[in-house]
Amino acid sequence: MTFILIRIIRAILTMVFVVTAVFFASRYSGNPIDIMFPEGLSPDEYAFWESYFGLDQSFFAQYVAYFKGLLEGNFGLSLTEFRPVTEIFAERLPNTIYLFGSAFLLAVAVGLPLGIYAAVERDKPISTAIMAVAFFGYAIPNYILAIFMILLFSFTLHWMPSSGNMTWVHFVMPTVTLAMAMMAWNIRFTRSAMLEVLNEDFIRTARAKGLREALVVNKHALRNAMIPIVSNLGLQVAGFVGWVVLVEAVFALEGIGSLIVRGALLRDFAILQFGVIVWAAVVIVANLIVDIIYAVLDPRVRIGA
Amino acid sequence: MTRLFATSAVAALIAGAVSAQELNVAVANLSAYIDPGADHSNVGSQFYVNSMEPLLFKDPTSEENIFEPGLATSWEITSPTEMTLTIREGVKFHNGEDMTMEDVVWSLENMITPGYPARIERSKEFFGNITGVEVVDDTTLRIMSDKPEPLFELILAAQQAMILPKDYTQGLSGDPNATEESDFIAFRQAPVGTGPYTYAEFTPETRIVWERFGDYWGEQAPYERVTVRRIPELSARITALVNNEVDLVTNVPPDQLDVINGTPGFKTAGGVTPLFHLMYFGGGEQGEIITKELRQAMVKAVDRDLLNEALWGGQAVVPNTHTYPQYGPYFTPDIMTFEYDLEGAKEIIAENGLEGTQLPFYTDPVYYTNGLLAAQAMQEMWREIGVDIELKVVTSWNEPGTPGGWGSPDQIHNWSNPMYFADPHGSFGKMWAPEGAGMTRGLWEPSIGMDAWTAMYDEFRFETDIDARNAAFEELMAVVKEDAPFLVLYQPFESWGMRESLDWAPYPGHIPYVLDFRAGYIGDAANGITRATN
Amino acid sequence: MTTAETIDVTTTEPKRGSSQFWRGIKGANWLIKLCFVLLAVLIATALLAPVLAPHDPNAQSLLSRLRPPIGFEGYREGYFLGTDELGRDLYSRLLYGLRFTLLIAVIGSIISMLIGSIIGIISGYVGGIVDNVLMALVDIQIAFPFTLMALLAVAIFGTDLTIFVIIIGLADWDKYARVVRGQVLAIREAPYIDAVRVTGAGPYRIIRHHMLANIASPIIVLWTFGVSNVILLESSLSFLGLGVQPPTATLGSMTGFGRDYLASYPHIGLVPALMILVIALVFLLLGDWLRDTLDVRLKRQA
Repeated sequence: MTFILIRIIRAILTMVFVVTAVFFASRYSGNPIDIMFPEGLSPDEYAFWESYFGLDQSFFAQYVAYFKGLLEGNFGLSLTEFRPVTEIFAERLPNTIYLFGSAFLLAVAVGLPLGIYAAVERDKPISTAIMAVAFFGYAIPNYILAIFMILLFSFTLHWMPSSGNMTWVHFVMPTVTLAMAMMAWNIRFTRSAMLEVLNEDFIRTARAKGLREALVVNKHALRNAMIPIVSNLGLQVAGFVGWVVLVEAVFALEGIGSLIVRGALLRDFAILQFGVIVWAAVVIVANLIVDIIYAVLDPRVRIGA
Repeated sequence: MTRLFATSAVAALIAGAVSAQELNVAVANLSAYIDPGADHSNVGSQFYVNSMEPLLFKDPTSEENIFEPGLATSWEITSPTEMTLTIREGVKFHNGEDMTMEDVVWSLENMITPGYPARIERSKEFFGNITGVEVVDDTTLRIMSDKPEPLFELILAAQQAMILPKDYTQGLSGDPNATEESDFIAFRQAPVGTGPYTYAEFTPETRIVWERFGDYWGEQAPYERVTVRRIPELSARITALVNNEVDLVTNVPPDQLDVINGTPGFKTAGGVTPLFHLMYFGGGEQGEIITKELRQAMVKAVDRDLLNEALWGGQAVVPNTHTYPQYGPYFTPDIMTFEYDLEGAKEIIAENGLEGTQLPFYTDPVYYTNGLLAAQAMQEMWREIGVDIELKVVTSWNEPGTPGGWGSPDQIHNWSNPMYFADPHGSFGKMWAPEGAGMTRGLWEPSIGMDAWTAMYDEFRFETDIDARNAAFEELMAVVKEDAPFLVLYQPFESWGMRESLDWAPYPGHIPYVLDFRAGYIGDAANGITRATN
Repeated sequence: MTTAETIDVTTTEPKRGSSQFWRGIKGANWLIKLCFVLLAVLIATALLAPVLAPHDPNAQSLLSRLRPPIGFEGYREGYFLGTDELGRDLYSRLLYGLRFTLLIAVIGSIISMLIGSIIGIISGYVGGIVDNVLMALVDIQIAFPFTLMALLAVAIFGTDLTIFVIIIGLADWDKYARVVRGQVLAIREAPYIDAVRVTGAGPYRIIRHHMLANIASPIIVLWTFGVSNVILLESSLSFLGLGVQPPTATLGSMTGFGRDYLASYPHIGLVPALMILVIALVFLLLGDWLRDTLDVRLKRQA
């Protein structure tokens, strides 16, 4: 119980710190007025907008006001859209969930079986081919893959729409792009986790006892390898959610990632601040789930703080 | 077979997005707000004419200043300082309310003496000489000026003079019977006008959806719906076009025209834009860091013809001075204000010991077509005379007074001077008159002193004799040549890419970058829409 | 430091000398050997860029923009990979781009490694509150969207090479910290360390002589992966326009600027993109091989 309490406190502290860092860093880095008026303002107009946005107060005063609002559940109004940031996020969140969710499922559905196969039949040519794909998939930058696909499937063949999020077809290429690196990671991770287990003594014993190979793999090896594999999937959420930004940017998909980038470019502080809160929450929850899975699947693991 | 099916299914889905009576447009830049009275940006200019209207229309198909009835049915210049107009009846705003005399007076008064600070600068630039409006009777309005005003019609036909709904705006926030700052701020995100398209959706920097306004007083809009999306990436815009996701794309640089023209079913259209790309050198007390001599040398060192040849395929227009052909009798192409003279530049540098000067140069990566390329090219040209430029690619213009900000004394920045209306006062004056945008930002302090500059400028501004006015303009340009506060680069050759069946291009009388989709100004064979010939 | 210098304790820790490393390479398959050759070529090319480059990488020739590589129509003599959007020699820029990219990647990943290892060692060795605080830092690092951090940092500090390297260097340290901390925790409780402690060795000596040797292998493996991560990161940031300012070329910024011309002059973007792929692949494969060879288990480092 104390363990859970510590985790929660640490999670809250993390969020507070992240929001605080973004709060000040974004304000030091510029302000929305400059960007909203791309050809500049006279000093009078500038002063007007500064006071309108409350940016003429000290950063500290703004910070206190912001946290007061947070305690009341008020995440602020977007400085560019003049409406609650929660509303804007709610509109875009489904797109990001579709994108990340389908990419994640694709990466698991393809990555795990291939990884297991590559471990069990490690010396077959097909396994070598699988590993080659895994290495390429991981080494090729996300955006380069995206551009290649756009060039081929949109520009040349006209099979796929290149940007936007109007229909499910618009999600196909972004999903594949995002899934590629995750899938590559899954193949490599699953393979080495399986290999590790296959080398353990009890597998050798099982084999020595004359158990059929399929049984050995399915019943003994796979079950044991599942613990690191499943927990790895959780970590993947934390590790790859950052890639969403790039993929949404390249495909002009209106999700949370592109919203946060827009917030940063326009210095829409309210969007930025809420964005990192959401982001940190996702990562923290994903990590928490991993730890719980660890604890449930493998009682030997004692999780320290 | 399966693949064939999948392909056609996908094609059908894509095609579904561009069904009849709809137009999809991808733009490089999309505004953060809609307010014709506060806006003067190149980005903003794109998005007003379809939805908002001034009292007078200027015929865009002609280079000359030909005016037509807009929200006023007739007008008359009754004296050099007075104009009388008859307001059109039966005009409705998009929210269903009738446009009344009250709306017209309110709209104009909020430009002539704006309480809303964001409009003060536009007010000075466009309505500086206008003193007030007066209701004569139910449909007749009088507008008065201080000094004799030769530009009444041009001012009233400008985007900044568009008519907005009073009751609607006042009701947006606070007291519904008072005009407050917060009303205008709310209006920016929920704009309403009288034009043939309503703003059905506006997401800042992301999307505008125009829908046909059924109660429009004039000819109905040709499209049921026009969706404008922002796709900042050039290659992504072009791909979206040739992949039939959009029908029209903006800002195609000359070196990409072949890609579109070489794809069957697609073409480009474009022309020289009535706008100057320019560089300004420092601001405020710029003499301290970027001395007059340094500026003169830097102006002379730029081979603008080479830039034109290399970046624009020779299709841009390199002017001798700050003037446009659209000025008619006030077009003064022979005044030599900006001249390439490498040897002269080197001499100035040597005489004044300016060798090795280091300066930052700020530029946005995409805001101006070819802006970053031109900046990198000029960096080399200035290196040639021993001036070392550090390029700073920024996505914003920073706070005034800070490094890189408007008016900070040690920087070079690219900018543009559009032609807001076809008179030297509508471009040079808009930026460099004593109340102009460049001056209020502190980008230049004329060496002859501000009072002398004001006197000189007013002499030009209100002169009615053509020769005398041109002579006065030449004197102004002599000061510009001596001070070298900025360098006019060229009028860019801007192009738009589109599907073959579309017949669209900006008309010569448009202000730069207007996306005009009103009846008669766009043709679309695929939708049975024809364009008026000019 | 004069006290315990003569004391030499035999430990049970495995010794891994350089001879074993060479034996490892000899026993490696052809792919790994190829990777080593490629690595050597890449490093040599980067070092010799000023000698190998036929032109100044930033010298423009505005009237010869966008020329194709050798063998295509419009090829310009002496510019065998063609010219870019400002008429600069693509081959020379590629060499210098490789140089800067490798520089950024190597220094950036070393910064990450140093920060992460130091934090991991302190955290694992000292424990208690210090450990909690440092691990909270790791939490924050993981929960903070790095792209956003880079974006803001670039906006505040600008993007000269030094700042960019530092930003990159702050991207990856949490991975080292976690792994090193885990290793130190495990070793701290090992019997032989107790034996060392009994002889009166201070913490510095224990860490220096006994722990570093043990955590060296995982650090080396992590670092190898780290280089390929950092290269992908550099190119992604440059692609988003957050890289080193022009005219300085990195492979990432070359790809970024080249993407505008993908439909018309694909060679400008494709050549550096392929180069990025090759480098990332080489480091990735070597990392994998090192991990297997050194028998390092890197659990829980996603």
